Amino acid sequence: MISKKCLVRPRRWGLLPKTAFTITWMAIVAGAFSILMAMVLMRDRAESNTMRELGELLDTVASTVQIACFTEDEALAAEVVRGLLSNSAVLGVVISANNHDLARNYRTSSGVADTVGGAISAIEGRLVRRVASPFDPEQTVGEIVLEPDPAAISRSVADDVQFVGLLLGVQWVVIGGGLLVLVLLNVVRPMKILSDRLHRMDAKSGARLSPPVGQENTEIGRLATDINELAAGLVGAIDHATEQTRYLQEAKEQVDAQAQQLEAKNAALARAMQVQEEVERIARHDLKTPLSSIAAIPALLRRNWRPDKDQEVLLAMVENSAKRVLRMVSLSLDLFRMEEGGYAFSPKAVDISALVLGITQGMADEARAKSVDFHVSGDEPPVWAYAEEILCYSILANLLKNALEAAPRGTTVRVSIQPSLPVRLLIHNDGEVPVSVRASFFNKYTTYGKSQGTGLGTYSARLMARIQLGELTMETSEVAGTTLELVLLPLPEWEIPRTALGASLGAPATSPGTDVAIPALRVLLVDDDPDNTLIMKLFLPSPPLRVGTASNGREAVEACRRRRPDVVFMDIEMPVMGGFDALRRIRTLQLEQGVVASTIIAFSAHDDEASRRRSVAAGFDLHLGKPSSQDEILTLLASLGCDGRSTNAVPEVTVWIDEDLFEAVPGFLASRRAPVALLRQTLESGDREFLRQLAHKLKGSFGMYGFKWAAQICRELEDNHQSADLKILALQVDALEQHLAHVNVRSRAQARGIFSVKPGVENDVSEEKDPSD
Amino acid sequence: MKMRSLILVLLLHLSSPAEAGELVVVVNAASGAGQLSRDQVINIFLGRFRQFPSGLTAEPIDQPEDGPLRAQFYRLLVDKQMTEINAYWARLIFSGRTSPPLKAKSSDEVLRLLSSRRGGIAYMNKSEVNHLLTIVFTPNHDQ
Repeated sequence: MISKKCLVRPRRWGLLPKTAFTITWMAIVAGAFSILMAMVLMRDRAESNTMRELGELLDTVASTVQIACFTEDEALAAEVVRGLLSNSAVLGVVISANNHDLARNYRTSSGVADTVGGAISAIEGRLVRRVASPFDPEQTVGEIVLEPDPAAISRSVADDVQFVGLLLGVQWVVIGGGLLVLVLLNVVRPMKILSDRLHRMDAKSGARLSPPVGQENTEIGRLATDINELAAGLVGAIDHATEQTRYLQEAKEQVDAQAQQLEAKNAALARAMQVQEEVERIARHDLKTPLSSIAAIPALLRRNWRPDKDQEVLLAMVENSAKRVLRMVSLSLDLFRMEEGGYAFSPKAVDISALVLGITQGMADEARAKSVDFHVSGDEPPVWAYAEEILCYSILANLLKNALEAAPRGTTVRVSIQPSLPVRLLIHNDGEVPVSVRASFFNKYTTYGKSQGTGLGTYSARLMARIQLGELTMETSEVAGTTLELVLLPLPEWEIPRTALGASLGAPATSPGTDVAIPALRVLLVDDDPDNTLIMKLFLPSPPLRVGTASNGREAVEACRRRRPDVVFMDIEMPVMGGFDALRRIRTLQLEQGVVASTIIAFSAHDDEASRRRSVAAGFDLHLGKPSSQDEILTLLASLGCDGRSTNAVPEVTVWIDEDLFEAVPGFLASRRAPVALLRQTLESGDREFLRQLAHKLKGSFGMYGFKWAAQICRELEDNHQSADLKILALQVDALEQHLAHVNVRSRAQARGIFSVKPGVENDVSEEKDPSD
Repeated sequence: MKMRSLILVLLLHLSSPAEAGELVVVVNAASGAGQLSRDQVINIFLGRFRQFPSGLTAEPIDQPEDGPLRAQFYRLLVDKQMTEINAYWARLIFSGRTSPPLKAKSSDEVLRLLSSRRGGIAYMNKSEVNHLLTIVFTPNHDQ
């Protein structure tokens, strides 16, 4: 807000108006004073002058008055009076002889008026003169009284004042004119000359101002000198600034050029990074396929061959090593996903203490070599956390390895596990983290003293801790050493496994076992890797399954043309024709043939969320990641109906719930346990109608909360309650129970905040869907 | 002052033998007038108050202008030159209230006018006075 105060400009007087004002006022005051003085002085003077003049006047008429008085001639006296009154300074005249008036007259405003009265004698200051006889000066014959006119005196004063005023005016005019000429000649003209020269002066070329002639030693001359000095200073400053600007410009151009180079390098680097990551991802993917074959072979071997003890050790070594490499590859893929925000956290019960013990035992040789002891304290196993075992394994292996390397020789690395809420795990060693790396300890590519270190260890450990909704922090000092604290979610009560076996690494929570009834389905395996095809064929019991193979998409389409398979396991990346192409052609073909569409399962080493969504969007019934265990595959097949239609056997890992419903979900899930348990009892009792009613109710409630897969299972239970084999229905109920126990419930708000899932992802995927599909 | 006047008069007397005679103021004997004072003579001849003490109106008569008597008379009477006397009368005549004495054209006419007027009064050498006239005043410098 602008105040009124600011709007009122302060009244400012220029020097010229101020001077003019002062001079004018002084002149007026001096003039008034002069006139006043003149009036005072002139009045006296005018009075005396008037009296003198009247005296002289009387002198001129004295002889006549003498005669008039002498002869007492009234006519003569009246004549004299009239004559005297013709003088404007005379107000009244009395001529008397021997004590009687010969003539008396006075002037009125309108003129001379004859009168007889005492008005005249009453007026002070009159002129009285004795009249002597003309023949005897000693003899008084009469008297003449003359009254001067005060108005005449005033008029005289006024005339005098007017004269003084005129004189003053003339003086002013003369003095003012003189001053003006003086100012014009000595100030204005030199200033104009100076101004003109300044205007034309080219200071840059070194020209300087010369003072006007005759003004060299005046203030104007000094002004010219000062201006010259200022101009010289300014020119210097401008030159300097110009030079600076040029330097700056040059520097800016250099910086711009360097920035452009840097940008180009950055772009190249970014492209290189992209390419590198892509290559790494492909390499990992390509590694996974053969590795899963290697890992699967010992199990297949044990089926029909009983190895001796040594052979079994070797076989276990092959199996474990392959699995470990596979896990590492998977983990590196997962890290990539975690960074991208696309990792889906699927927590299960993890025994932290068992993991720590296993890892420290594995490092025993290394610790011995360094004379460092491991000391694990805390509760007896199991200490449960709600986490992912592979992630925990990776974190702990990393941290313990670091601690071992950092610990000085002959000291102890202490691990303390506290089954509190949340679960806390402390790893302490006596070494100190250097001050220079403390702040960036968890940053990517931060490493210290390890020539081979990638700088990813602590970074990935913290990333994995956070992805599991936990935290990893570090405290270090010279005295206290270094302590890393890992915090993980505690296990919910209902998740505590009935046996410790259920949480072992890689083992499914429940195993369908071999007693699961596998429907007699016609299965087509499509994969360009013959090893994979072989392993898969070994996984699939035949009979009851009838398994065919194809090495690429085109062969798959041909196989489908010849005979419709119930289920197709389709690899995505294949020579000749890829999985997506083959899927479209098979769908089109079966539509033309008028046969029931096969259940086509994308079977790919890409098992990230994006790939999964892409597959479903392209029209696959399911997406199954490589490697999958035999149990997983058999469970899946068992869940498919006899007609081969999909029941969407792989449940959602994570269910995204609207934030307003999110709080109610734990209660909702708890309330579903009883009806689901009732479902199982109903199955055992064989009451199919009640089963249908229960399934119908459950379907509605699951659908409402957004548990789509659970709702789908209930719909199938409802649809197939009459026709399906009870064993199949039981499998579905098992799957439902498993799903509800392990499902990962997330708020959509959380998704945006923590996992940075972009809301538009599904739309993007659906847009990728082929129009011909 | 008196000395100076005396010297002047003496000089005049010496210069003019005709004036050797004494100048006197006379009236018609029939008027019955007695002696007059100087002031009374001045009043009559200069028009201020023209009555004899008896109440008779006085009628002054001047000698001719070019004659020596007239100047002598006024000089003796009021110590004025003729020009002054003439100026005096010029101003008085202007008012019209009074008039100057009758002007005789000659000494004889003075006598004739005197004899013809009861209130006549004139001045002349003492030698010219006859029995019809009465001397009422003799002006001299001492008075």
